[in-house]
Amino acid sequence: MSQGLCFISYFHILIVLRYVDDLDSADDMVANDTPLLMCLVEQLRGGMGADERVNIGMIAICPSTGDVVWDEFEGKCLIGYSSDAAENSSATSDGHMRTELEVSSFLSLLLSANFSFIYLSQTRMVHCKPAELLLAEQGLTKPTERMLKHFAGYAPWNLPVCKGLTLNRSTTTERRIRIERHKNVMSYTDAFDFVSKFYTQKTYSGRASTSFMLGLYSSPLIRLKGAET
Amino acid sequence: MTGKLMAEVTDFPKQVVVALAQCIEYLSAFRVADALLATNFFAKFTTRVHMLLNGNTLTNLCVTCSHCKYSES
Repeated sequence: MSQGLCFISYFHILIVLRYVDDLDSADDMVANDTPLLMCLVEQLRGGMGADERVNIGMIAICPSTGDVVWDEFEGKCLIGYSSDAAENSSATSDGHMRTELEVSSFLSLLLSANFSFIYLSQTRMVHCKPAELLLAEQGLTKPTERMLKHFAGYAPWNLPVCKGLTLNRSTTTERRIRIERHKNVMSYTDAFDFVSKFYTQKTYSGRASTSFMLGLYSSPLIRLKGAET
Repeated sequence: MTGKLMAEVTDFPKQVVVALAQCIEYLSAFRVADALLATNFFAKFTTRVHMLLNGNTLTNLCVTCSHCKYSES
């Protein structure tokens, strides 16, 4: 129960900050942004190095609206991380990546280790703009960790983090993604069992979602958004 | 209804199912896992057609932030 309360107050503060506290600065407000949780799962696919090829499963959830974006993509190590990998990469992709490398000097200089992966997942991160990341405690590859660490530290879209839950204006310069770690990653069979249990045990009626699409559903958030415009 | 939900979930790639399970486990601790029940709001990232620019492009154009400090001025 206390965990639940914590979570509610966390979201509550995010919402309060977004909708109430920042009325004076229009630049800080993005109307269609609600806090998002993103979960990343990584699976090694072999290759030359231990973490040359990885399969990444991504899911981004917006608990307040129920919107979910998912994707699975392959991350490859192409530049810098190991010379063998760079040699193996085809000329076209290498050239392409190098141009990309020049263009995005800010990020790629920091993170040139696994550029193809960064290219893919950074796009996803920038688009999804998560407020919180759910990751495994161990098992993520080094390039991934590095990229995520960088991204968690710098998130221009994100809401200011309140230290010690104080709504002090001086803390508004700090924008970070909260990272939550879970102990161990489930295997596919365990995960499938878990998910199927969740979807079969819950008595879900389609009413909420269909009424949402018809415009009948109005959560406090949507009402707030409506009041804004 | 549950059959339809399950059918959609079985179509997901393996890693996404694992990620989904982790999310359900995490969110059910806060009793908000029900947000995941409406699978008709699930969308694959690459099926989005609206402003699907490369992340670097977005960052360099300062699309996501209106007041970042990259500019020379």
